[in-house]
Amino acid sequence: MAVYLAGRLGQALLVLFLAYTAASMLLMILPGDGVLARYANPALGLSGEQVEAIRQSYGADAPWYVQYWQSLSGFLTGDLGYSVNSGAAVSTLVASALPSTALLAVSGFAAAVVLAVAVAVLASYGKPRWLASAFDSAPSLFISVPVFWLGIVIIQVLSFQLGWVTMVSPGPLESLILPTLTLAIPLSAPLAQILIRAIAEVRAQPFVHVTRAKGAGEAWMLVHSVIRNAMLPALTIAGLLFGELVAGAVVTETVFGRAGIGALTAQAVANRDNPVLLAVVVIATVGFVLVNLLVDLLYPVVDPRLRHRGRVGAAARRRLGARAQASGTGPSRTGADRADQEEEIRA
Amino acid sequence: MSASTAHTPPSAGTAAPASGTPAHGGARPAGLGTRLRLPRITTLIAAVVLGVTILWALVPGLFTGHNPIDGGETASLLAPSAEHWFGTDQIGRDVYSRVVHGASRSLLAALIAVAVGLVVGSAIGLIAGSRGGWVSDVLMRIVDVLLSIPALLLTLTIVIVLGFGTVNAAIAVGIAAIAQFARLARAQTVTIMQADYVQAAYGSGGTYWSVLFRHVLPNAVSAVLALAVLQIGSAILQISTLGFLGYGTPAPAPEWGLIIAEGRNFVATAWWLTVLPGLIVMAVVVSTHRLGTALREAAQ
Amino acid sequence: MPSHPHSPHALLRQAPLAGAAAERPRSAAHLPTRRALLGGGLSLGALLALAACTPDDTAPLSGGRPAPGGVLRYFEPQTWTTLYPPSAGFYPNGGIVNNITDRLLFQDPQTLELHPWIAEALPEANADATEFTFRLRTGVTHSDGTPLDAENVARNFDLYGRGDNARALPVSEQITNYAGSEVLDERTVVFRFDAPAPGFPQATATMNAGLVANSTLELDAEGFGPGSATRIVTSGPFTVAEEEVGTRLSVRVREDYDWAPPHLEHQGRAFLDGIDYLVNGEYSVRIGALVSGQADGVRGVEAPDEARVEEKGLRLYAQPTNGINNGLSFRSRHPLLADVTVRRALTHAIDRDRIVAKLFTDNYPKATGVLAQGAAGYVAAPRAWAFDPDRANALLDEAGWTERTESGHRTRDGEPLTLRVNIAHPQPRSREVMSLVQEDFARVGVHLTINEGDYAQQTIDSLELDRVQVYHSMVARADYDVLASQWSVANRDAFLNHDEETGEWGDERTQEILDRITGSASAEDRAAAAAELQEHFIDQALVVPLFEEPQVFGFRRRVRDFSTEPVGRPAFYSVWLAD
Repeated sequence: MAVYLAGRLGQALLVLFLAYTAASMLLMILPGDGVLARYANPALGLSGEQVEAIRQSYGADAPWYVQYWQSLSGFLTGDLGYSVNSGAAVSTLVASALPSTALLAVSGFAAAVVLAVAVAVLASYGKPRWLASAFDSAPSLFISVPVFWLGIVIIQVLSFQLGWVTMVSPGPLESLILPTLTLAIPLSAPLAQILIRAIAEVRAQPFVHVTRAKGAGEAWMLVHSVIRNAMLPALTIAGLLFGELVAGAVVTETVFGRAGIGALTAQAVANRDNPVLLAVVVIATVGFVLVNLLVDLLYPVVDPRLRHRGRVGAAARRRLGARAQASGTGPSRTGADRADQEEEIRA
Repeated sequence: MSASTAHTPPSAGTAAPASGTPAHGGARPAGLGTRLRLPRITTLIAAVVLGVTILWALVPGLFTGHNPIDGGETASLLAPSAEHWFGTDQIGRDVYSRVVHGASRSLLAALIAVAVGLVVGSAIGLIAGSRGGWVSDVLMRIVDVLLSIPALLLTLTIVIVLGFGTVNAAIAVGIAAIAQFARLARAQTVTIMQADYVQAAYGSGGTYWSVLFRHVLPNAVSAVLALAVLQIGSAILQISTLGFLGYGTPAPAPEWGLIIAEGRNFVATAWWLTVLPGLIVMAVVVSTHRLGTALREAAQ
Repeated sequence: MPSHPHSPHALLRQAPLAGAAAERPRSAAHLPTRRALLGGGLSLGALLALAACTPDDTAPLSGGRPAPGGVLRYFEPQTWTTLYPPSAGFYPNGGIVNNITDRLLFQDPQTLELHPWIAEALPEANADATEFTFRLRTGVTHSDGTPLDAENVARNFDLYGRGDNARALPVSEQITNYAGSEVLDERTVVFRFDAPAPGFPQATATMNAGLVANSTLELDAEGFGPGSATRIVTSGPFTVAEEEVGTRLSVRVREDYDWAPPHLEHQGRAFLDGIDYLVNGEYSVRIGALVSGQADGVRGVEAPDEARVEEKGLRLYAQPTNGINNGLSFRSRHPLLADVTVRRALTHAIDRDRIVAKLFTDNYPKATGVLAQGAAGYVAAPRAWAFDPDRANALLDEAGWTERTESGHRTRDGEPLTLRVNIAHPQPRSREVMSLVQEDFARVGVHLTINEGDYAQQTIDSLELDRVQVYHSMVARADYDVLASQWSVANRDAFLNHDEETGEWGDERTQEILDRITGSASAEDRAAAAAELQEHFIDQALVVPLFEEPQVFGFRRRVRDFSTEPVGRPAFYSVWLAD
């Protein structure tokens, strides 16, 4: 386990470095730079020569590898640099944006999970049947609503018409409610979709009929068989949604006027503000790698058959019986045993 | 225990491993019970919606007489009426006509975006999930890198490199979706690889590739396809975000995402600009989903 | 006595109800039912809610007496980027800088005349306008207690006139040929220039020359940027109190403020206790916040919303920006536009009436000259830029663009007549305006491409003649120098008039006239040169002005006596809130 963790951490650092490098390269590809975007802006009215002089003082005319090395060494020493667009320290911008986004991400994700489970259960067990059928279509409906439109409608109705929450200097909790709702709806769609499919497939399995025949209640089955088996793909999607969270936050934060990582990203892309963008990439990568490490660690917890993951493919190619190996050399006897028991039930 | 028994993995569907993908539906079994009557009506509506949309794409001229790219002297932001079913847009063009003429471009874009993500992503996920070891590690870390870069930055750069246009925007959105499909396909594959029938298939002399294509792929693809249907909707909306930023379809060509994006500032004044094209997108996605479900049910 | 809303001192023109917009059919009855069914109740329910009414603003429009108190909640579409005064041209920056800084001189937004402010009189200038002597009033202090004296003023202009690239602080575009300053005594300062600078006194009245304390002058770009707004120390009626990066900036009243421009009736502290500058990038949300009463004011009400805002009983203020009209510059250095016949044809192809009627309201009058009617040096040109597509076609035929492609676009010797125009993101509805011009051009067989990309991309592409040949923009400054700001090669250079490498000129005569505007000492000479330039533009079909661009603000009824400085940035000093 420790070796596995160390390996994953090493890989995480590698991913961080690669993501940073890839993002730097993408920024090199984008024509123009932040200095040009800011100082050649007609609002300032500077001449070409004056802009060029400022670019030189920024080092924006240096070759890309020099700039890459400078920013990389800056990051390694903890210096995130300064925003080209506003001159503010990137650390200031990020420090003021991160908590807001983290909070929104957590609450949005939690709400999405609740919503997805509710939709999936209603779609699978809802009565009458047309209700279940309606909920079955909910995910495709949720995902095809433009997020900006959803946000605006929610604000119009709940804030401007009903006056439940204010959009102007709301309190910390008050400011979280509507964006959470807005973020959760599209976020819950893939999760609900996967859950619905997984539940349907598990319910069709022979072993479920067997357990039911043995007199187990529907609720017991939900908890013990269906949910646990559906958890695996759901968990994967959940890990993926972290990326969606940042992307979804771009629109949500814009519509709700929140200063977060999403809004910062949109602004930085618009201004070719490379130091800010690179900091965002690093933050997103760290968050992403951590979340997915967690997901990978959770796989064997929710599905004991995966406790010998990684060796099975090779084992199969050696044409060995998987079961013999699993029960003989698996790191966790009980897990393998439970898997065996389960297969006995199914048989 | 042989490969042909019902020992399919939990999330692999009840379609027999050898019968191909769930979407590969055979004829509908005869003697449907009354329980299925309601779904058949919705399925019929779904088929009609998709059929009409495809006809829009093929022969737009049959459905509207208005010019989609020149509004002439028509006032801008007119509400829906008998003359202009979906109203007129911010410069006085007929929105319904723009939606009809935009169908081919938008459907193509959505298909390209989904296809790029689905094919490339599933391939990466299948290989990573079935080979394990360093191959999996390398592939999945590449996927992690892809996922870590903000989608906005990634798509924008791809559009700039490939050049402006609907197809290129669609490819960019597809590339951004590769990582999602890859991770999901890998998770499915890892599960399936544990199944007895897969192990048995190896045991009875199957090669890696034959087992992969005959047993793993058909079962892993089910959940991935479910995601793909959703992806149609989000692809159009992501193209719309690109359009809002000025990186979508070049003016004046109509495209659904662009129409929705351009209406964004008029949500409160001229709701029809975003809502009606938005409803079309929803109708297409829900119908695709409905039809997909019906086909899968029929195949069982 | 503070000015009454309808007194001559109220500098506002209240916007008339937009006639065309009001007649717009509002029925939503013809929804196609089949698709509505499919869309589900979700969207329809939301729609109904959208259509439902928020209560109208029924507060009285006038009456009451100005009294101190209240914080104004004011929405901006973008967050400010720097409080360095020379960069105040960016709207969100200017809205703040204009209210926290004092200036040497005050320019009346209506007459555009200069009046004393921190300087107790207009400056003494030498005959060739290279030397200006200002005598300051006494007792003015910055909010940190340091005096606003001659030395402080000199340091301000030394920075603004030279810039400091090492600190990434650019020079002010309005102060050219700056040679240096000399402090004669505590109250007297002299500014010297290498060449005549007749526009300098006006430049000292703009927010780009807002005065800051010595400690602030030490700051670098980071110090002027977001995250350190509270480090900005100024002498104005409001001072920065609190900042939430990216969402809010709060300024609060300076209780001991007692050096307002003597020209104003209102003296002493500002009526408001403060202003909260709020940011929301979503237009519908800003308008909704105003209509629902959650906000007191917003900048940038778009033309299609004017009718709705007024229906709700709110006040619209359309403030003229008194500069170059919103319009197109043809970059004649490009081979396709080098021929004056082609430029004339393009001029006649544009249906300016259609643009104004379709996209705008009465607050956006069709341009009657290169400059706005309120701008310094305005010359009326009622017959120029007439819409005449037949003439345009004839001229294009005459210029040899006679063959057509399958799509109907003109070619000459196989070369297509294809031009590209930028989108001017800060300008109202630029994309829509250009889409209509695109239609107009297509009707005479000219292919106009609208440049793709976001704000930064447009800025970058606009610097390349190969990318952008037709340049859409506007500039506001209440001085003859605005012509140079827009077209001189030393400033924005909207024509990209001169190629440094080849020495080739697009239209050298333009630059020659511009040099006379910026370099002449006498006002008469400058006015004559400005008139000559406008005539030259019409004769050579180099510029097509489209409409006069206002800044449109929306306010709740209880917000009284709102006004702007000459180029439409909000001035909150005299604003008060009725109960």
